[in-house]
Amino acid sequence: MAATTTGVGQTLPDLTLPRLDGGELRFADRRGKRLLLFMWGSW
Amino acid sequence: MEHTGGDAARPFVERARTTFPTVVDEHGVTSTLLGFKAVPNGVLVDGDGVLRWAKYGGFSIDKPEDVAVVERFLGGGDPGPSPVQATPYTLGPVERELVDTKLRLGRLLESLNRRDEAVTEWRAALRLDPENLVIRKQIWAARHPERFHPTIDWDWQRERLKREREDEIAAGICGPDGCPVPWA
Repeated sequence: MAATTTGVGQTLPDLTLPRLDGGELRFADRRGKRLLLFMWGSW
Repeated sequence: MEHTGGDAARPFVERARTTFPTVVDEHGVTSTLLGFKAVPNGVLVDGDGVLRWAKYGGFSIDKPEDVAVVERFLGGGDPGPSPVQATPYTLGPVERELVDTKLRLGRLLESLNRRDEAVTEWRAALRLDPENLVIRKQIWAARHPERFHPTIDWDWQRERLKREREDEIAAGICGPDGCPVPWA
């Protein structure tokens, strides 16, 4: 993966990540909606 | 979006009875992409997929100022400027790639029950990037699991962080203002 980061004002590349309840979530499928991504860890 | 693993995340999600999807980012794809070194984070993305606002570390729905930004944005408004991130130094692209690779390698080793080797990789990554709380907490969780399950001991973490930073300053790895030469 390239070591450049996406900053405010830039478009996020399409991401697909596994869902906790099974299947996958593809971020591109959410286009057209405003999103809040909440990121956390269990530590 | 959870940053450790599905098994670690599940009890928290079940307890919170969330209505939104939770995804697992075991390989740290998002931290590489966005360049954050701590969680919890709030990130706002508009309908075109453009990153509009981000707070890395310390984002909480218990903080009225964070809730206000989210509500304004989801209501169609402008989120305003993002909080200024503390960046005592910036890693070059090669160092960043190395830190990310060591973080991922450590997670792979841990998944193979090779915990000591995992911690060795994470320590090497932390030496390159001492401000990185994601790496630091991975090491703590591996070495002191009793401080993380069944509940997270925040007082222990604060005390531990203070002590480790003092040791690092004393060892010359970092100065009080950060680590201008992180590979030294």
